[in-house]
Amino acid sequence: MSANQQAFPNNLKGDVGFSGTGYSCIGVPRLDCETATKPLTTDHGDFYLFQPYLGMDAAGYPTSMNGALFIQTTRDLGLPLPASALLLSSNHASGLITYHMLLVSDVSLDGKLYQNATIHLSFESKVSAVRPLAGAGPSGAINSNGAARVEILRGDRTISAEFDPGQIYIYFDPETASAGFGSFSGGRAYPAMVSPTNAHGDSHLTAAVSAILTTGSSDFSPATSTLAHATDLKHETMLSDFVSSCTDYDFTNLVGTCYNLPASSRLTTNRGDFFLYQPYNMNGNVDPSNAVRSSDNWGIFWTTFDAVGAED
Amino acid sequence: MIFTAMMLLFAAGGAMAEPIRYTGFVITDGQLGNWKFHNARVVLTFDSDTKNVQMLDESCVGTKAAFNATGVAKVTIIDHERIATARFDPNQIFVSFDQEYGGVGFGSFAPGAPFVAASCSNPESLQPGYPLALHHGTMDFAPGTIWIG
Repeated sequence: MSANQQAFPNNLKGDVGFSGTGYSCIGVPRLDCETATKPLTTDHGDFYLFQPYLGMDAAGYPTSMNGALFIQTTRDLGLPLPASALLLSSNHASGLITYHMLLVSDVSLDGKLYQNATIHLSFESKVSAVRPLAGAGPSGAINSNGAARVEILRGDRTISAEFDPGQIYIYFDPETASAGFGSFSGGRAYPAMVSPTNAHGDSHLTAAVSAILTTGSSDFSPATSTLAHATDLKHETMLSDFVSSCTDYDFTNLVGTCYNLPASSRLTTNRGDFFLYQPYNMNGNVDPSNAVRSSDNWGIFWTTFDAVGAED
Repeated sequence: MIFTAMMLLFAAGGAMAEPIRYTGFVITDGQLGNWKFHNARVVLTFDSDTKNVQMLDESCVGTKAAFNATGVAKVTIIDHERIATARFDPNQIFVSFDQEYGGVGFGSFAPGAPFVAASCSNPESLQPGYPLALHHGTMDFAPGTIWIG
């Protein structure tokens, strides 16, 4: 485990952001946990939250494969999420598409380090720019023609920047069970890619979607199958899994380890040089050295069509 | 010396009472009133003060946990062209951190006899995994937690 994780407060006090598997069920997560049948009540009526993306753990219990964030803030009680991650979107496929990645991590912009910051990467493009990804099977896709941005929140600071053109691409590769924001200088796992890691065992959403597309697996909930068949970088989708920011990532056999972890690749923006780090890691059985780690952090990747609309 | 002690207090995770907002984010399905949403961005918030955090022990809830049930809980749902914020009726939502097993998130009380932390009455009413709890992530390694792989 990483030293900075050991220092996290575990007492519901202080400023900190966490990520993990997200559960919405009655009972004990990873044991016997059922869908809620009674509502929570609000001033807008009864409220339910479901967990549609389910797999089965080794003990035979249904387990959530989705990711979620939990953030504590004290100094500034505004919403600790980037506004760009909360924009409205269109119900209709207009031909314009935006790819998103949300994570809590360490990031550097113009020489200033922001630790445990909430980071939203976005990439605005057109559906027509999506191309087949070589070697990734019939469902693999890449989109390298768009405008990439980042919004960073840490404490009461919000920083936004636009990446210089021609550095970032979006991809989905079910053969390696990975998707996200790759770069021509840092590879597919940099600046941020979601993918399973062997060190963590259970199946998660990116792995499940990939298994459905590559092997026709029926081991997952019907909603997961529906999601899989919409995952082609041209339609609305959502993937989550462990997120890596690694320039030397091992994609073989879903090992999911990062070699040369301290290295990050410089990306340039209109606000200066950008580096994204992978601070939350663990060692698994296959990566015993301190230099080779698997991410312990979760990222959420999703797509939206162009933003319009009004607030209730 | 005094400054150093104060800095250590801050580094320990905010020992002094202060307002705090807990925020959860997930993309999922659900329902608010008659509105059924799919793959919507769901933001849960719970506004409180750190002075309201209580510690629950193993004899009460089977684990050691930080617990805060005093606050205002809201949910914001963003689904395509629609965004709505709803305020939960009081005494339904709590936040907790399971210090032994590494879970954190927004829990709720089951209908029926209320949980009373001081006397540990009706602990069976605690539902720590609903509406949104996190497990198997970066909080698994916070001090005192035991990782279950």
